[in-house]
Amino acid sequence: MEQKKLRNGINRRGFIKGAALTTGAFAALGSIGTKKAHSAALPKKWDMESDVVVIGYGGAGACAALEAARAGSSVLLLEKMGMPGGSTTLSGGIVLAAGTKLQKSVGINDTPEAMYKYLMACGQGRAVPELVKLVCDMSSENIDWLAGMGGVFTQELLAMSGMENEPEYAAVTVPQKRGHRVRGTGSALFKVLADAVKAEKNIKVLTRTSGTKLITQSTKAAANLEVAGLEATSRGKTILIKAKKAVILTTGGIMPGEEAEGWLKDYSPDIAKCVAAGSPSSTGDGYKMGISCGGALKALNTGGTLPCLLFPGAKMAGIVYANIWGLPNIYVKTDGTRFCNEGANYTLVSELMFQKNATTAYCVFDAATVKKTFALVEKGIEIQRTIALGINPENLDDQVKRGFLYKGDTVAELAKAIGIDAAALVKTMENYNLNAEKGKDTEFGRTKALEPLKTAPYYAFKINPGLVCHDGGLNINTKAQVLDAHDRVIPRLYAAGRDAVGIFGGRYPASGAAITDLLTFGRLAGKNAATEKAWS
Amino acid sequence: MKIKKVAPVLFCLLVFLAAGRLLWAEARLDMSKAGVKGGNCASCHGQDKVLSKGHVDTKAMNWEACRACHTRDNLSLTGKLPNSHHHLLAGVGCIECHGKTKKPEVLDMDKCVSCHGSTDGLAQKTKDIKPTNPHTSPHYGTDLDCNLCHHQHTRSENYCAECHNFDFKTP
Repeated sequence: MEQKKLRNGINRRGFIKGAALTTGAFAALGSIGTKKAHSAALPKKWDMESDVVVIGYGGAGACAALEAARAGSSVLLLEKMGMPGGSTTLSGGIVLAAGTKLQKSVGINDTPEAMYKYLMACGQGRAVPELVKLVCDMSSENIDWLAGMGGVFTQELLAMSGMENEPEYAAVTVPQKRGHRVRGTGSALFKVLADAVKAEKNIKVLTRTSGTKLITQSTKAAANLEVAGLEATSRGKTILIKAKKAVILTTGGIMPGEEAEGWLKDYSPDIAKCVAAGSPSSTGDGYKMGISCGGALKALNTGGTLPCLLFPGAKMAGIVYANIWGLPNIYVKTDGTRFCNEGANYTLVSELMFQKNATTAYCVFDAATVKKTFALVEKGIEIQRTIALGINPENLDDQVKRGFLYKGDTVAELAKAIGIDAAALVKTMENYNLNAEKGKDTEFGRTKALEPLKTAPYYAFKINPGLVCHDGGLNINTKAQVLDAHDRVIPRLYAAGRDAVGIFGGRYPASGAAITDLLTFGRLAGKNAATEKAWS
Repeated sequence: MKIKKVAPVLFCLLVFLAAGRLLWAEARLDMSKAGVKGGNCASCHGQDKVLSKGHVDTKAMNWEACRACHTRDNLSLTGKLPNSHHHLLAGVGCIECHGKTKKPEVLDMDKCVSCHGSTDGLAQKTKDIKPTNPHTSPHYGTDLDCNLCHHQHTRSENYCAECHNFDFKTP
């Protein structure tokens, strides 16, 4: 009976225990689950086989599959959804990199060392130095790699995408523009990878197929069991897949939601309160499979959080880009007062949303801001239509009707439409407008897009802190191999993207951090998996 | 230990049912070669009652004839029938898509596009659908496989609803 339970994978309780044990003190989880599993025999018959099996066809999975296939391995690339892309497709399509040709072409003298200093400062003492160093060193080459497959990074989209300019970080290293962006955001970036995958004969893609359980076998050489294959659910059927060289976990970490309830909440209450802004297919599958054979989880209480807009009834939220694109607005709490410098970096703003009891807040703006948004869209910045403001500027009235945009001919009427105190909002707006006219925000020190909001009608939409990616994940080494609680390798198991802890530890550093991380470890996982000797 | 006694019986029953299901599927395929008529329900469904009680006889009907009663606004069939029915009723049989084979393969969207035209054109046609055009998106452009929503051999679905609350009725 005990064996049967183990074969069926870990239960939730075990998962919580594993997670709790490993992040803080790294207790010996690895040795708990593995001993009993020794006796579980390998399946007599496999339904499919491949040298390398990559679970999760988002950015990290695509990179891993490409490198493994190019090194001569056969690759089976599994995707849970009907379409590949995951959170990478939903992203802004930014890659954080230093010392690139593009930077040089516009006279930016940046180095991987400077980027390292910045990322380590963001890691707040918990980021793993050798992993961070690797990512910084490889970042420029990763841009070239993407460019070689058709990714076009342009000068006008090169931007400072994180907190580099905030005093705390500017003191550590000179702020530089490191956010390399492709035209057409994340979907365009992912298309570069997907087109390359399509062209690769060694890669077979299976959509609507998710990994459910890793199958292990014992070896004389290693302390841990080695991964031999997996059980997957493919279009409703259970199949057994033999992985002759390795399995690579790239399932995208975890998003707040049903699956995350119960453990994300205990562990990281702030992140559990976030609305999901990454792919809803990220349900911790990689974590669960990883810890089921001894993998240790790290830094689970970190994540990329931003002010987001949750469309009623939708499973996932959109990012509010208004302040990234310099559009005038204010954020108010449910009591009608402001709580932050809205123009500050999104990581800092979302931290304040938690600290100042503003996990439900409203982004308030006027007709002049709407006009400016139109102008941005017309300028052809190729931002996704809906993200300039968080809403689609083309059909405002329709959005009012559908209930996610509030409108009022006066500020008081807007407050009434939202359902917050009218006098308070009127006072807040008066104060803000006075400050904006004087050019000095005496309350919160806003400098970016400090412009009066005085043109009727007035609009607002609800904002919540949202999670674009969960930063913690399985502990890995510089080869992207999954490690147990004693930093021992779990043979033939790799992880990358948000299934691995990668460069993270503290604050989310900048837009493009998760993608530069997935490029590095996805590619490394693929290359290294391909060098494993096939078992038979 | 009641289960131990019942288990073999249950197992046999399952095997029996599974075999029956396979044979039935085979029978369906055989008929497809003989040229299935869309209006002749029994040619695939056998004795199963698939039409509502009192429905007129459909044996000789084609898609146009169905449309005499089932319009877009009245008794709409949108989302009610797997799309293979529409194809069959319009005279497009199994072979037209799958070719002459004993083992029909899963097809990709090139096959759809070869008759229905490019997805760019389709997106143009549906540009005014509210709340948003279902045939293009900021995430995938017009690259989404038709079969993610429009199924042929099972009920169609609204793939957007994996993330969004767009209330599309998928034909």
